Amino acid sequence: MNALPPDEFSEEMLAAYADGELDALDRTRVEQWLADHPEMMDELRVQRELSASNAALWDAAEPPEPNAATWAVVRQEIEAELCPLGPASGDQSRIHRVAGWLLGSLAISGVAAAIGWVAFASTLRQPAIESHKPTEVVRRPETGLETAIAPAPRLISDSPDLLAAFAVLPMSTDDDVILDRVPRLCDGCLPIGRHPVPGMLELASVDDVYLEEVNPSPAWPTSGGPKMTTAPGDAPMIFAAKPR
Amino acid sequence: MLNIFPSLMLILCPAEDSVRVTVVVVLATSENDVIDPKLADLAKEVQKRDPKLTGFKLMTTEGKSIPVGESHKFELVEKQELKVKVEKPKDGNGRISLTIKPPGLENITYGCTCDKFFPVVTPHRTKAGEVLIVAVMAKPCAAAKKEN
Repeated sequence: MNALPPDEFSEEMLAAYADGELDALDRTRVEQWLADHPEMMDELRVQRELSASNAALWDAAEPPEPNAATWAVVRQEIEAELCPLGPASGDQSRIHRVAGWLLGSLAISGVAAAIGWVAFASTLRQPAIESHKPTEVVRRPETGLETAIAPAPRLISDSPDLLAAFAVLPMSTDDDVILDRVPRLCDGCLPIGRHPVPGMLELASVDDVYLEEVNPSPAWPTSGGPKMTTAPGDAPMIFAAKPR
Repeated sequence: MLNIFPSLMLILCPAEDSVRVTVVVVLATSENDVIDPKLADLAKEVQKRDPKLTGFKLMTTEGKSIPVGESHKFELVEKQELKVKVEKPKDGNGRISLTIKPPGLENITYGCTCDKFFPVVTPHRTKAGEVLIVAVMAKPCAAAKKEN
């Protein structure tokens, strides 16, 4: 504030002086400036009237409130601007508002329908385009057996239902299936296919087995190979279980 | 040169005959007396040698067509195997010759009438203490023919 030359005192400086916010030095400068510029005394008077010291006065003041007649005149002027043919009644304006809403809704619906048509038109036209593609026809050589042999069922790989080609699922028979390895399971768990051992194990008799060659093993007696039977009529077997 | 000739013949003229070998895996125990009905005869014969084995359980049954002169390893239990080699097809006495190598035993070559089981009670015991038994059968009984 001190840096300002006396000729550049602004209205803000003058307002601060009027409000008593300046220190002694600035106050002296403003007073000297006012002495040199007496024409600014009127401005100082205005600033003092607007001073914060009059805040209570300003707060007590109320803005002018237009009465009902004034508002009616303003309303008529607005309606005259909006409806040049004359002032509309309350019912007419309500009708106009409803009509406006209806027209707006119809316009929005039309836009939505147009967007939908554009979006789905391509998919709807696709089959029509494909139907106009030339179809390649391959003729089979006639063999004379076409009427005698029904066409074999054909699996269509791109069909979602892989079983669509079958009216009845063709099932294999017992002769079609060979069970190579069967774990211990209940009877009837395999509806098709013969168990490798369908019945009781039929053991070989003494006459059925001929021991050709046996490599030496601590499991047999030193006299030779394993003892195949323990008594006449026994089924032969190699018994090499360790004693418990 | 003469030694090479048989091998060369085997390579150029592979044997057409195959023998279907069936191996039944059985576990026997003294902890129960449940006997699989299919093993009734086997249990009776084994009990003649060891009456304490009272329970007989059929674990797996596996069949495999093996060309004559070739072998196959059958999986048993607990990573045990039974190696079976078909030595000769059915001979004039109606026997098919096999060489087997059961767990804990050496090679055993024998001839057996087709469609009849030849049991071997092995020295192998499972972790549960069960005795491992294998029963081997070979066929066909009819004249050998080429399989598809």
